[in-house]
Amino acid sequence: MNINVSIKPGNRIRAFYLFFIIFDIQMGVGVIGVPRFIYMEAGRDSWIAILIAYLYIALVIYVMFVILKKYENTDLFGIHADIFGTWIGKLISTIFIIHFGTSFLSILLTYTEVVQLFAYHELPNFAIAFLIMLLVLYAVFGGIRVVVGLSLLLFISTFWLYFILYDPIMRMDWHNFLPMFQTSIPELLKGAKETSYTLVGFEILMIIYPFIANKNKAKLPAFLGLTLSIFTVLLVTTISIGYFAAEGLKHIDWALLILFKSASLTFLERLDYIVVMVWLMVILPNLVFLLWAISYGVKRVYKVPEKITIWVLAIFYLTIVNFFHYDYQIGKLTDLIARYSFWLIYVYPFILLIFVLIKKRKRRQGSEEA
Amino acid sequence: MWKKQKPKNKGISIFPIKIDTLEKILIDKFEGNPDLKFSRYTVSNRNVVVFFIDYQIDMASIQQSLLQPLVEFDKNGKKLTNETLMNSIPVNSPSTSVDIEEILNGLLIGKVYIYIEDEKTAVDYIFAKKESRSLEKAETESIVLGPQISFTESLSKNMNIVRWLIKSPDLVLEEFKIGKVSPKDVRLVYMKSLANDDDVQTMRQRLKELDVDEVEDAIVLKQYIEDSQNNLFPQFDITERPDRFAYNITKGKLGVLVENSPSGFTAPATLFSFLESTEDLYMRWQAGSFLRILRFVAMFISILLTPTYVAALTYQYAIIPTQILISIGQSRVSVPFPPIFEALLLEFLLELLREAGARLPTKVGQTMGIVGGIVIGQAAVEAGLTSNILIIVVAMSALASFTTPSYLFGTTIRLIRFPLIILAAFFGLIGIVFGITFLIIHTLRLKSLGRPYLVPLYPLQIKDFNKVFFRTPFNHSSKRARSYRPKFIKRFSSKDADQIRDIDE
Amino acid sequence: MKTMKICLILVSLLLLLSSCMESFQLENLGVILTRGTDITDDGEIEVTLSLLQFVKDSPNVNTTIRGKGKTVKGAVRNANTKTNQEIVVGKQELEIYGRSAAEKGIKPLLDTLRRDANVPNTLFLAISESDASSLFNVQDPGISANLGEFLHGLIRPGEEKRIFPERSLPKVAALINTPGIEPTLPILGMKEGIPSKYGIALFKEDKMVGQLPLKDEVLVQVMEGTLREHYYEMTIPIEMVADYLSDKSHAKKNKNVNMVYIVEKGKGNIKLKNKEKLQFKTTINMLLNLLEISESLKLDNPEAIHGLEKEIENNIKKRFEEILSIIQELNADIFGYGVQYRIHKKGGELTTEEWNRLFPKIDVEIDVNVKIIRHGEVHR
Repeated sequence: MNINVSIKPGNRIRAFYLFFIIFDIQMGVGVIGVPRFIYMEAGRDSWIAILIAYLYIALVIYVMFVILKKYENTDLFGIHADIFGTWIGKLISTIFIIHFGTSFLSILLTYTEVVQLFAYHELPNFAIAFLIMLLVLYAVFGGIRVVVGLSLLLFISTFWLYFILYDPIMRMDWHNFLPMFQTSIPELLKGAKETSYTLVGFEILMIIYPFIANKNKAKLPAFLGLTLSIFTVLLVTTISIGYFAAEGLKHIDWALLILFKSASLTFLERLDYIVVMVWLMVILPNLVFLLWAISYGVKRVYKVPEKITIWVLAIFYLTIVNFFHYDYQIGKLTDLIARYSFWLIYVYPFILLIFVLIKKRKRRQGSEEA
Repeated sequence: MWKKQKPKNKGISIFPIKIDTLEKILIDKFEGNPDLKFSRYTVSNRNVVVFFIDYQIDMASIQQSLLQPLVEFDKNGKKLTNETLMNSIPVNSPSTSVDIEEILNGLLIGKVYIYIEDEKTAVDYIFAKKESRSLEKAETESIVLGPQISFTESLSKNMNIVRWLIKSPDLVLEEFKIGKVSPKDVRLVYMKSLANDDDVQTMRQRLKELDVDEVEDAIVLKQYIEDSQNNLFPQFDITERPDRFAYNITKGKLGVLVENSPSGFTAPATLFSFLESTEDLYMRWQAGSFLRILRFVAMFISILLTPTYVAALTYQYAIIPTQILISIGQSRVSVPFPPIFEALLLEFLLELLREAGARLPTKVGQTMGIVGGIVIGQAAVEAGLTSNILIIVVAMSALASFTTPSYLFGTTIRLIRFPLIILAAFFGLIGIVFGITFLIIHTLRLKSLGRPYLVPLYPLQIKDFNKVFFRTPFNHSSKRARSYRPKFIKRFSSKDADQIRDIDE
Repeated sequence: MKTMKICLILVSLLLLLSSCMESFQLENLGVILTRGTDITDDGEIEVTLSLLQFVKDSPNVNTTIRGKGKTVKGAVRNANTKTNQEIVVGKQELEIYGRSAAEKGIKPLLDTLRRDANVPNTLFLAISESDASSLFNVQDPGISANLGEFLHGLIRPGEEKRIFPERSLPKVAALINTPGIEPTLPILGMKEGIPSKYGIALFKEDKMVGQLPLKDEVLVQVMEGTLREHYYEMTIPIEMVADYLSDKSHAKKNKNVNMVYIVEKGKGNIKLKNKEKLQFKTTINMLLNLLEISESLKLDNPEAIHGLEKEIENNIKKRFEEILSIIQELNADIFGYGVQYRIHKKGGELTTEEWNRLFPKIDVEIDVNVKIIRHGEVHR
């Protein structure tokens, strides 16, 4: 396997698209339910927990950039092959590919559940998954440029969702945040950890990095994208705490969608229906990026053509969604991902950094001796 | 279709030949064509023959400037050869030909041949007479302000207009011949100093490698050389307005004119270029921006309004405010069909009206529109076939679809509606979102002359937004759109344009 | 050709899939606008539904039907057997609980509203002065033709004007759940055969424990936050403003002065003064605009205005103290003193039990500031 990849000029993307990529992949089904999880741990001071998560993720992204800078033009799979050799490298790369695969499944299932809950309770899992898969396949077959373009366009076409939040903001009760700074630090850290399922996804940076044309300008857009998604999580959590009282929020599964429920316009009511449907546009970049990353990864690691991976996975997913019927199954899957992705995404880059630094130093010494 | 054309083998000379044999060959080749005129003369003791097809020829001028000098050649006592003949005939650009195929083709485009017996070549002059319509007002893309002239079927007239609009030596009109059976003159028009070389090369190649028997019109040629023919969206921008054509050329795009076609097309096009009208430039910038944004809104209304009605009435009744719900419900209750059928029926009726109106002569067509719109609509409501709210919805979306400056694109929008209505009827709002997302992916995948179709939205070029989505005053648009990658971005100095010159000191 | 085939397969598959969906065509629906819920003596739930129902050639779109069942949804299904249309909740605007149901506790009845994603959050809650079903027995043809909307209009007169009686579902649910503050709901009742606003229901958690007359809505609303554009009628004894009367003789003729103001802006505020002694301070600020007064006062004299302001302040203060004693007796902290207590408590946690114990003991100092900033075209 080649450690460095060469990308055709036509497939390169400008660095500022990282803003949309990072933001879009972090926003998905996670943000709908995250206020409850953070609140359960960090209580009224959830906003501090989110800010802690922000600082930590910024650090992780920084570490990712440091690792990537050590190489000429490579991705996570190339680094693994370089550091751990062929077999262990393949193994760790496979773990990441499986991580993308399970994330894909959990997003697909959660959104299916939301659609069934809010609008079409008689529509089978398969039908919704089938509709979504059609779009995902159509986009992924368009290649990296279409995938990135989709994230940009869907970002633009869903941005108005922020404005609907004006209504719950007006109905907030600020007393729910007082008194501040009462939560202990371990609880805050736990709260920060609860964001892991929602905010995970930025590891796509290590996959998409070789495709970026002007790499020296990549940092700022990545951090800005992170900032916007943290801002969104912060906004949603804050409004939820203010809007639902303490006890209420602990029992609400889809806080964000319920926030949209009270908004209405003079010519359109029940915006929550529209939001639930439009949320398809929010999760679609997620799915598309994940499937693209899987197919690209499989091609890099096992040299299987992308087309085969994509078709096999599509059939696999369309089959497996039919076996999930209970809410708790989906909840368990989400929990599982939250738990291991904490180690895989939040902790692992530091370990990788240490290995990369040691390896590079050795290599430099080796070359100096020679 | 894209096969490389074989290089033509230069014909073997048939000359020198006896005049009788020549006549026989020609008549053989033009079997059943009595219009080939073959007149023999004897000048300076040599047999001379003049032949042409009479209706392709301007008879008056051939009499005066060709036949007369020929007959009177004897007077100066020179020996008659090709050279002396050419010297004595006061018509420009004579040429000689030896190949019989070349002569036949020449006859068709209005050449007159003179052959002096036993010479090695035949001399020919162009006396082509071409009937064409005079210049008229643009009909399909009419605007209120600005030049009203439109292209006509004559290529030379069209080129003449374009030349006068762009008086620059940079303007290139490259010639191509397309069609094997009946070749047509095609001109690739661009600004040498502006147009992107890659684009020019791509277009040239597509034109050159096109292997078809004939092209009927510029619109047909456009479809042949577009990036994807199966696509619903037009990928090149066709226009009958020379000012729109010239505007695009001066912004660095390429244009193509086709013989006998009253329209030209420009490339590369984007989704948004179909919503631009040159009228936006002729308006003040505020009005121009307003109109342009209006057209964008109209496009969305046209695509989304009827599907939303269907989705709301089939599944998501709750999104309609209660007051409107009551009036919709009251008018819906007497309709025996489901909303989808009702909507399709009315949309179909409207399309029928539009199609019939387009086929009928103008005066009758207008009456039809009124009769159809008012009488049938009213009757349909009273007969309980549709609800009156739907009439408003459908009329509004039809009206919105007519605001598109490009007729071709307007048709696309009208067509897109139908799958969306069906999706809405089967899946409700999520069907519409699905459809819209599908269209977004679809347009993302589209290319026009190898360039992305959604530029400047993707790839994002925020600096070009003021040329596409709205309009800024001219001193703020000192640069050309980057999206089309012209060779020079700068149009004029923006500093200079900002200066106020008329304040008294 | 290949693409065509794929398209055909896809389309037919989509059609197949969608066939399993239940459609909600508007003309086949009975759309609930207002629902009344009562608990009968034998413990069953009885619902009264004001439906939007479309019948051909009938201008009347409103029908009222009843149903009984063990659960709210079950009662609605039961009602559904009496109509040929599918009853749906997607546009429900108002839920009215009968008094006896409210006194038993509304939490079990709220469950269906919170659980069902189709119920809008703009739904308002109200209490009926007697049985909820009685509100639907309207004889007036003008009102009964549009009953559902009419009842909703009582609660929400103007678009986007968040004035008192409006109590939306999430707000009530939140208040029930929050220790240290109790919800209030508007009471509707029949007056001369027409449903009208009646008073304010006081809740202890989810149980109705008492009520206040409608005229106190200004004070309740002011304590909730900012109040704008609200009418406020009050009566003060005439001797208090006798000095400023244009015609002093009136002081002997009449006993009271009646006035109506518009509250341009009113704001209430609670502060904890002493945590150990449970001392609170309540401040009420109001800007008033005089609309009508039964006696002519010398309003061009600033002193007259100040005197009038003072009298109003006393009036409000007195009423507020009365309300406080009522709610302390009921142990229903509708103003949220407990929230202030919680905020200043260490750890910021307060249990319902703790506040139940403490609330009757609290001591409140009331400070009312009133400014009459306008008095119309004339000053006498």
